[in-house]
Amino acid sequence: MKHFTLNYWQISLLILGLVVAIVAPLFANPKPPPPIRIGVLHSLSGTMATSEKPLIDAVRLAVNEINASHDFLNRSIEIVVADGQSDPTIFAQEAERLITQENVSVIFGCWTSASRKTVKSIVEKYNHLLFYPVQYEGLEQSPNIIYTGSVANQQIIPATRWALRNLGKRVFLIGSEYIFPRTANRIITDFVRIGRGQIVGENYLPLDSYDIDSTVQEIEALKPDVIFNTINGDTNAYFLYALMQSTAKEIPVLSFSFSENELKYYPSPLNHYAAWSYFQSLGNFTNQQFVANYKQLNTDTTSVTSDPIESAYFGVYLWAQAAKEAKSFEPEKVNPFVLGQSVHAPSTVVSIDKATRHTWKMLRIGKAQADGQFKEIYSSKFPIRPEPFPDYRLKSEWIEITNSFNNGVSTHD
Amino acid sequence: MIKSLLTHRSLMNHLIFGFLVTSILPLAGFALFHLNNTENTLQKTVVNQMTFIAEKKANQFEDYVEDNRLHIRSLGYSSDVLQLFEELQKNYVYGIHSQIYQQTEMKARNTLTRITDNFPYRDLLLIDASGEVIFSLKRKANLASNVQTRPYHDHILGDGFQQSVNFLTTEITTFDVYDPYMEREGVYITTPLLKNNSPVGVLALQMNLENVYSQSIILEHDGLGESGEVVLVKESNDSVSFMSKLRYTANDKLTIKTDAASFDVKNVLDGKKGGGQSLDYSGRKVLAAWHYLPSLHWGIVVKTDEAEVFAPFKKLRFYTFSTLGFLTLLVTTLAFFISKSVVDPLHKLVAVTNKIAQGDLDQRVSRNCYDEFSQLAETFNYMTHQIKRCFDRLDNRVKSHSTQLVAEKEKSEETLNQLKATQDDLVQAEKMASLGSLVAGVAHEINTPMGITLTAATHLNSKTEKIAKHYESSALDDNELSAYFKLAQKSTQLITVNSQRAADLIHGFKQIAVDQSSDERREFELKHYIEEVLLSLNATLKRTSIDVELNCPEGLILNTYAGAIAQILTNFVMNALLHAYEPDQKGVLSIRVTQLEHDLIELIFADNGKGIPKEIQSKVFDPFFTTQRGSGGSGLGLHVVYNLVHQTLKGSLALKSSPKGTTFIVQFPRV
Repeated sequence: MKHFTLNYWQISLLILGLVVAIVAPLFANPKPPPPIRIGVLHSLSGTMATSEKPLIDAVRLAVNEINASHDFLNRSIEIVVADGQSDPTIFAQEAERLITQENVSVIFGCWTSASRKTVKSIVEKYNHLLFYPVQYEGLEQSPNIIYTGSVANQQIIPATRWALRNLGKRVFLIGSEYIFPRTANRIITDFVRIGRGQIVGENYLPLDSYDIDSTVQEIEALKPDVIFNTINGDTNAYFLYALMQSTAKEIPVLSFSFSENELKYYPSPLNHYAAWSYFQSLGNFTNQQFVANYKQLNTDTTSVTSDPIESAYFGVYLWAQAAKEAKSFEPEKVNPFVLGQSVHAPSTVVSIDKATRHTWKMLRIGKAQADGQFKEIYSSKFPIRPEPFPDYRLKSEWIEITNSFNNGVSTHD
Repeated sequence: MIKSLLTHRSLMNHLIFGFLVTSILPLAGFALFHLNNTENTLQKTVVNQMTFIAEKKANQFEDYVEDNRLHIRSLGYSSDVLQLFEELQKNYVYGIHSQIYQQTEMKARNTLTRITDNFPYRDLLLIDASGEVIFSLKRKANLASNVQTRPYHDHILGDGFQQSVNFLTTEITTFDVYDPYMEREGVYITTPLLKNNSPVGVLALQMNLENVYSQSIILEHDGLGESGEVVLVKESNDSVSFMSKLRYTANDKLTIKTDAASFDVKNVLDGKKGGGQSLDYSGRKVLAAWHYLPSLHWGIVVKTDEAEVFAPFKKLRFYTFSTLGFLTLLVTTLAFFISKSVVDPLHKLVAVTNKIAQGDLDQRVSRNCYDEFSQLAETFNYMTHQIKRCFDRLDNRVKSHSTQLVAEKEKSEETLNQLKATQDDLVQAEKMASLGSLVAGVAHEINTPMGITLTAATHLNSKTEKIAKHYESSALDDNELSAYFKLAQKSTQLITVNSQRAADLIHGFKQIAVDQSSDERREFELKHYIEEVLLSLNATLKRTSIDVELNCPEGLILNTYAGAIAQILTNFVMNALLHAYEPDQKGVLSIRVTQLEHDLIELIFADNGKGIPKEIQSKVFDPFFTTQRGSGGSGLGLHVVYNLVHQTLKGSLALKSSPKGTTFIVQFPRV
């Protein structure tokens, strides 16, 4: 009978093999966990589509970068895009769908204040989280919203002051008929008065209106030192074009809702200024990279970046940082960790103010150039603390003012 | 030595090695794995803790600043303050040295001192809308100066004033050297004084950030260990200033280039927050955590020396390795003794077996502490015992047989001797016989020519007598005389030829005996020598139609018995002439010489005659074997060649023959 014997080494190898076979599966790469879903809620159609579509790309760029860094708690991020169709009711419906059916961890979205207000009810109902990237009138502080756009004290107030000192003291106000221009002009009026200026005229045009002739004639007659422009949407094109044909074409215009994106599609008068926290022309290294990467996203060298685009972009990073710290993706868990987050954004080091849930942002004044860029001509020294309810009035006073606008004015956006 | 340890199939080595591998190796592996884990975990834990502390301190700092800001804001709303301001404003126009102003001033001071009593303010200023400092709580030098004009308008107080009066916000200014008299850094919180939502002036409070520096809450390094420190940093114009008093440098106003700043400082001024390893401003290795402070655009860094953090880990590592080392020693010693207790009985067994192999069958193996070895010993001993018994039995049998054998041996020896004697006799007899046959052959060979010689001589003799007689009696006629001459010719010819033949035979016979030591050994050139030999044969060859071809390399020097070679060649030629061809047949004898390796010479003698029939090829070298006995073949030619080749030249002789010709191949050493 032949004996089956193993020598010393064979036994050792056998044992080693057994050990490896048992231990290896523990270290083997497990199936990657499913990606985290985030909602992006903007208008893909309707009057606001031109303004809002680039924000989706901004979010996508940030998500691509975060996914590429493999530094997000071993998960990847997936975007779920929803179309608000420039209609606040649809915005609210889509927000609800994103939360309840698509199970997103956070929503990046909205542009107009009307759409934000309807979505606000939804995110508050579900204790969810919305990142709102657009500059607006302030006077709001929802516990479920993070505001990465500028508020009045960061944009309107210092810009007004600058304009009074550098452009002139006789001011003409023109805006679209809804809450942002109304509130903005109210604040502007306060500071024109403080700055010993004078409001020579105040007009409001319905959105989408092109009935601008009377306004332009009024301007021609009054010859103000500066026009403060809070028109939103395509009406801007009609108004500015008409202005450029009139005798008032050289009067400086300071626009508050006019960015590089609008400069691409709309006409722009000779002395055209904008007030933002960010311009594409900023020369720092972070911005140069950001602009290059953004252009590469759609391989379109003509695409432009703007303040809302930059806000949407760094909003994603702030959320990601908060989620990493919270070690969770659930909105109510991540929410408290967002406060106090800071990041070196293309415009500056931005941080979320704990008290107000808004962002510390710079104020920059830029002059529109023929090449479609704004050249920075003034900048605040440091990021400005956000005051959604400007300090010089009681909060209750502001709420009263807001309500008066809502009641006396149609909220159709 | 290690190699020998590994390859040496000693059980001892294997056992010790096995012990170490199975006990120490996994232990060491685990220990290292755990140490590594511990180090990482320790670092992670500490950094986490520090990140938490950094955040807490950042919050404290921000809260501190915010609290003061809000406090000052509410002061700005206070009707008391507003009222005092308006009074002061009214009376300021009379000058700060006027009585009415000073009265107001005193009143204001009382109230405002009370209001700001517990707060960390160095000074309180009231500034009117044009920038005039109309009141200073501590009556500092900037009273009655204008913050919008030289020399103050560029400084932080001017900035703060602008901010508050233009934007109506309550803000903290940046840090800057302001107070020329005190030469200490200043920072202000300014708030607008409003009437009907319009600014009428600014309330400014100079903060005492000494509290921040020495304040235990913010800069205390509890929780950061002995070497812990909290550092405040600020960036301006590409360089970093350290805003707090530093522990590890005497430099009070340390400033470094942002590029040269350490990882943590760079990060925090970049708005990042986090924690990790870094080098601090004095080059120490630290674990640090950092947090951004948005209100002043500063960063806060908390840090602890790495050495302190990892000290317990280093200790752990040291103990682990010491324990491992000690254990290894222990295990090796243990292993050594256990292995020894297994290997020793084996060695003993080997020794005993050796002794048994040498013949000592009385050896026994002793029992052992291990059961297995005792069993082995028992059975081994039993086996030895059995072997011994067998041996003893065999021994006896052998003894009894040995006497028998001795007797038989003697008998065999005797028989052997007898056989030897008989063998010698036989050899002698054979020698005699061969000699006899040789002699008989010689005699037979000689007999014939001698017979003929005798007959011819006798005949001649008788005929001569007869002729002499006739001559005497003059009865000789011409015919008888010519017949006699013919007879004489023939007879003498016969006699000559046959005598010569006999002489040749004897010479040949002599040659066989003598040839063994014929000639001396000498050096000669072969080709030349062969040509000479051929020349001597030329006389004979001329009479035939046989040609000789010689193929021999030039300059081939031999050192051997030249005579033997001559004889061999001669015999080959004569033999071929005699046997290979029909009379007058054309033919070629070819002699070819080549030098082989090992210094051998090969001589090939070939004829293209009729060849030697197979049946007799083996006999041609036998003495007196010939097929031409009648034509003068003595049968000795090739035999002589054979002897010369083998005994004299110490070579070899081969024969190849076919009806196309015969070839003799001789190989012999050159020297």
